[in-house]
Amino acid sequence: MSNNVDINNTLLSDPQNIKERWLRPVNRMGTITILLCILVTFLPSIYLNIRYDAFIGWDSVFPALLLVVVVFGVNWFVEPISFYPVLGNAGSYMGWLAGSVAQQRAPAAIVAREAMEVEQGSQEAEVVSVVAVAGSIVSNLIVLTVTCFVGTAIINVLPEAILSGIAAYVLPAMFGAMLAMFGAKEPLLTIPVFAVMIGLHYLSKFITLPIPTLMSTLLVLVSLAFSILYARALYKKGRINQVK
Amino acid sequence: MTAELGNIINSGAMWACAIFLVLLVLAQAVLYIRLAYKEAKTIGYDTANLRKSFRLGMITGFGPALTGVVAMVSMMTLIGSPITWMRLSIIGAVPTEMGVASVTAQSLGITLGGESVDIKVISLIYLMMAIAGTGWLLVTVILTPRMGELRERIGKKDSRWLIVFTAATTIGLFANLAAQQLTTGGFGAVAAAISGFGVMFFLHNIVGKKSKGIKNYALTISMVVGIVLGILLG
Repeated sequence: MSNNVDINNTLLSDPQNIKERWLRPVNRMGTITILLCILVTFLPSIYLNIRYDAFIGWDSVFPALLLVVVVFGVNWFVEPISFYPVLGNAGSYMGWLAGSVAQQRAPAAIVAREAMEVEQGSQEAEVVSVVAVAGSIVSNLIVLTVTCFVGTAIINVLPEAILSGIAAYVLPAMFGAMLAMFGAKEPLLTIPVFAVMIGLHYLSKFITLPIPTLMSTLLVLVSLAFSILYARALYKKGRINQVK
Repeated sequence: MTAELGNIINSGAMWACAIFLVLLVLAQAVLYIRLAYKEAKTIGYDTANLRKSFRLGMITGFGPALTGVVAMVSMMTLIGSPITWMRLSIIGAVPTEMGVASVTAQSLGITLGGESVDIKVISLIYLMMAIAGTGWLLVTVILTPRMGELRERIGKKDSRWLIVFTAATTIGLFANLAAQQLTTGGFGAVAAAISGFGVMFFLHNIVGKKSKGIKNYALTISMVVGIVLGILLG
């Protein structure tokens, strides 16, 4: 390292130098670890398919794939782009791999930066954020692992009646709650969409299509299309609360 | 779900499949900590501050992580413990993962949690969870190095509609899933959905305005009330 502190400091804060010294290894490490993770996420499905011959067939994969892409495709892009300013490069790789960015990763980075009183956008802020995000990931893994093993033990001793009650009612309760959480901000949008979907789901019981599963697939698509078009109309009239 | 299927999806082999991902997430965090320490030494930043930051990050992340416990145990009963452990160590929280699972079941014309869930359905659900997650991960890998210039190109006007568009797809998704549960699940499901909606609305929009802390537990409380009322009235 140079003995001349002034020259050294200029060199250290030079954007090109930061790019070479910090961003390049950060990007390389993020890319490699995430690509490895992508491969590993397919293991459970591959295992079931090979060991138990559980592959359902392509004619069932494609409708499911279509729905997943249509329902979640926008979020794949919007979320990483919108949280980037809070997380930075290393934080993005860690944050999106570990998830719960809004609830856990971003708050961890912000709290640590405030507490350490580092200057926004500096390398000091960057390293503080990275370590804080890593810390929040470690505590998430601890909670998950403990819950998983304690939870498995609890499930094993719960009476059958309660277990089947949870299986039957957890999804309506959760989806009702999620609708209230996201929908309450936009009642003008949520109420018509929900009313129409209840009507369509009810009517769909009386209609038989040549391919039975086509109806439920269509319902998902109709719900999204109707919600987006209706939102567009409200947006043009300036009736969407979130962007007023 | 049959007891036999329950044994398969909670078998040792499934735990073995799951642990790789959990370890990889941990490894990535450790690798980035090492990189941050190296960078701190280069720029002459006191690494004692990094130790404090790590502890702060742990503490900040701990509370929100705890709030998902009830949802996590419910998810374990529906699709198995190992896959729940694995899926929740990455990207999505429980509502996202259950959204993927429910939409997949819906594409087959069945309801998750029902009798018609067999090993082929579970295998398809696991596959779709992997694919949905891959979307976020691939976008992160591809866009993160280019994010600076990309954000400049997205104008302010477009980003406003983008916010509305995202909100609309989320509302559309949960409106459809809640409507499906309401119309197929019988009286108990109706009670569960309405109480889930009502409790969340009350906690999030009325109580939540005064005390922010309650918002973190709103989903847990809504689910517990919904399940209990569903069992009692169903």
